[in-house]
Amino acid sequence: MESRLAKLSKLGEKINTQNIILVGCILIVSYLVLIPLGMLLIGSIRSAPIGEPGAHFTFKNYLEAYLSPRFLPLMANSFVYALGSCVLTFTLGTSLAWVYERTNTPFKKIFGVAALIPFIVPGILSTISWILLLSPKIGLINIVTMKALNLEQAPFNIYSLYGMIWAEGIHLYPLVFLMMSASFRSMDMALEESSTMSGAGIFGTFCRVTLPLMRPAFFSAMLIMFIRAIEAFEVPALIGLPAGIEVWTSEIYLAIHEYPSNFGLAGSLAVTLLVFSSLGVYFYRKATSKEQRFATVSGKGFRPRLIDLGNFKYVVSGLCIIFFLITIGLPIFILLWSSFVPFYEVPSLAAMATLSLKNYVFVFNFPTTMTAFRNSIFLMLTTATLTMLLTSVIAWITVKSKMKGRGILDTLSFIPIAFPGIVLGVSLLYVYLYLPIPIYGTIWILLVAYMTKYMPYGIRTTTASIIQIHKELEEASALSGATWAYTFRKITLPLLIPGFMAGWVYIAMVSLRELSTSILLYASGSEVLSIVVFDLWEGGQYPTLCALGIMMIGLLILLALVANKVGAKIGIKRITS
Amino acid sequence: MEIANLVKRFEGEKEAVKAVDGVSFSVPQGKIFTLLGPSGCGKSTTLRCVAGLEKPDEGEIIIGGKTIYSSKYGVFIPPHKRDIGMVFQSYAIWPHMTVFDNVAYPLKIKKMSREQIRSKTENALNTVGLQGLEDRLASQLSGGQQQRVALARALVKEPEVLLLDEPLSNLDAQLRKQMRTEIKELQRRLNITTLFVTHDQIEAIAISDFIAVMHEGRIMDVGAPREIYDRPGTRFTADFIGQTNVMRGKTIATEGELAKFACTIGELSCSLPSGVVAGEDVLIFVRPENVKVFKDKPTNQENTFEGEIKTVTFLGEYADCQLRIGEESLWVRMHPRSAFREQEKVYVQIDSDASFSIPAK
Repeated sequence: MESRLAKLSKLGEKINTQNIILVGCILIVSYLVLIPLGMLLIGSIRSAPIGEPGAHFTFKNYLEAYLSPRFLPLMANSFVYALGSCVLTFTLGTSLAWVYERTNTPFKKIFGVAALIPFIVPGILSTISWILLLSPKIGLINIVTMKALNLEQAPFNIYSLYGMIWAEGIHLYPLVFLMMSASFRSMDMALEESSTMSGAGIFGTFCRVTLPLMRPAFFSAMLIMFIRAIEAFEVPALIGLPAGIEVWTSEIYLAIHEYPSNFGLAGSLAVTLLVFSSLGVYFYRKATSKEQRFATVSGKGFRPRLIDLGNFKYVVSGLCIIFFLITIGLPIFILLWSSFVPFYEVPSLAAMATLSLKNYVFVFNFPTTMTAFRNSIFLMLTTATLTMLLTSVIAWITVKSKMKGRGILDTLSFIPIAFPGIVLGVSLLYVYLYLPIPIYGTIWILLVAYMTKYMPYGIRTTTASIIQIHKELEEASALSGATWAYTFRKITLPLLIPGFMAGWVYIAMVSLRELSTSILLYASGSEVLSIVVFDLWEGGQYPTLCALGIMMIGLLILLALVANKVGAKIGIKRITS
Repeated sequence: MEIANLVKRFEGEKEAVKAVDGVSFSVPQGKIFTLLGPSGCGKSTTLRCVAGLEKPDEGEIIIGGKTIYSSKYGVFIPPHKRDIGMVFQSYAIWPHMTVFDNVAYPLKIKKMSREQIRSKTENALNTVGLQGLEDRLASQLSGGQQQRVALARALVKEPEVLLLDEPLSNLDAQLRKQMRTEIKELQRRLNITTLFVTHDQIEAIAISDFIAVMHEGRIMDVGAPREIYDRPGTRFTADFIGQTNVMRGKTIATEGELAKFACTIGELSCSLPSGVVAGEDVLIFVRPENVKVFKDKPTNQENTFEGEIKTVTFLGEYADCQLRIGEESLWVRMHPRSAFREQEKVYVQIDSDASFSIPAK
């Protein structure tokens, strides 16, 4: 009797809110992550698309991909492109971070803000602006230099591997800037000072202490840039394809877009790309965990000693100003200019007379753009909110609870970080062409895609802020008589708000400019802004596109400002006790 | 409150470690019971088991006649259904709420009426002396004020039992002394059964009705503060509470409460625990404050030895002095103005009533 009672109460204990939520989360995350992954793997080894009768399992798709004469150049291009942009972003980002964190260069505060601007501009607009600047035929920089130096031929050609590397690198370096700034900032100055006290000079200290200490950070920054570049879609599609330089992402796009779609080839290429990006993520995770063991990062309180550059500081400052004028000023200028002219033409005094707001008016009266605005804003709000809610609960479970199975949840929710956007697109195509869930061709498939894609970002921000919440804050609530759910609502969530807001805005921003996944999943009626920009580009309607683009950038800047304001306001309150 | 045979294991690297290993004690209604011990002794884990924040592996916990945990009957009442108020080491004041909201929180959960919540919360804030600070945010409070908010929040629902987890350890020395007195007064006034956890022996002695000294998951000694100090039952307790000199010895003869011992410094008489017979090996404890030092031979020769002063350390309120008697080294507490020099030959007298012995194992 007693033991039966005990068993019953044990069973009762297991069916509580926490466990229901744990199981619920695992189910949702599995649905978002495992099903696409599984379908992609299965789909890539079938002779016909899943769902078509008479198909069998085969390696034909892989053979077709690997034995094609296009494959070797494809591999070579992809790696040169990724490595090249990785080196470029790393050099730019690290130099700027060093100037910003460790020197006494004038105006460096402004440079710190400027270095983050490329973060706000969507990849597709940044790519387009560089085409408008560096195209051999219509590129502004080319035309101006040809005139100035009396050249016969355009000095720059964006339609080359170098051009691709430039366009990608110039867009991606803010991430390196952020990562390296953090490492420069968190380095314990005592480590350098004790080297100086041991008799090493400035240069000796730099080589023997500073550089070795930064090595793990260098390595992880390089890796993440490599992954980002190899996954990138905008530059390969807009510059690579017309130039005949194919990389993985553009080749997958082509395979789906030829008629009829070659799902098998797309699948095998997608799996191959996924293997490479997963390897990258694996090494990145390893490198960062090593970085923590390196213990240079103790987090707070160090006031870095600034290096006095002497008169050289004016040179550095000048170089930075020129750099930002070229890499931020010119692209924004050309986008703005194009958005005011009736037909695309190179800026000139004569063309000034034709400037008008007609393109903006047109954008507002064009039904597709209005649909896209509605869709994009809807997706932005829902993706950010749902993803952050889901990941808050997941992060709470993995950090705070002692439930069994929380490790699985953590791993599952991190998998999408290795999914290149275009690969996720292919996987979801497989899933919703086959599964009897009627969301293919609707806006809901995009919502599912975005949630999957941005889950790891949400996890990262919420985990960081949950770790900061002292567990006694929640225990005090339990002892005040609150249930787990009540505590989560009244204590945990409010304390999470700063982290939640930061993550929300970030996900909102990246959702708003998402292209590489949407491009395979949208249908008429579910267009989003970046898709419309892409279509307008293909149709050659540059002025309209630029007007739309400027409005997108405006929206993103607004988001960033709101985030800054809200973050600052909430950040004042201490969230740890 | 009754705790019986409580066991709590934690998964270690190789095997499960018993953080709490068969702890039993009972707290009479309206008394303060203190769990005292060094960090890692299991005192906080015991408290957290009572709170329900940890689930014990074995044993029984009864509060006010109600079983809240029993491994035998498979009973485990979750923390939010226990009638307990708790003050945490970090105070755990919710930073996104005002003082009023923090304190009113348990009442809101009980779904009391607005009027009731207001009057009870204000009452609780008055009790801890925080009237007028209702609308402050936690981040605008000093450490002592946060502590009071935590107390008010723990008391506002009028719980059967109050749990205090090292509540004074985050305060500076002055405030700690003041809060210690206040907590004790408050407890007396409300007559609430209290379980207090601390690693600070002075705090424990000052505040408690009963002290249990814990070591490696077990209770070594239980008793009123004076008993624990004057007649500790184990060497661990004697070492942990206050400073003490320990000498080995052998019982020569017993006479009533006192006995004569042969020990390293000679023949010594001091009080005897029950059950020790002549010939048995014992440990003799001498508190530093129970030793007198003379320049000249005293008239009363009982327990008097010749020695030499090794070091004198002036510590403000008193002077710590290290003496040597033969091979044995002895710590003695002296008045700070006593004028002894190092290497001076002196006479040392040990108070036989205030020294004590236990069987050596």
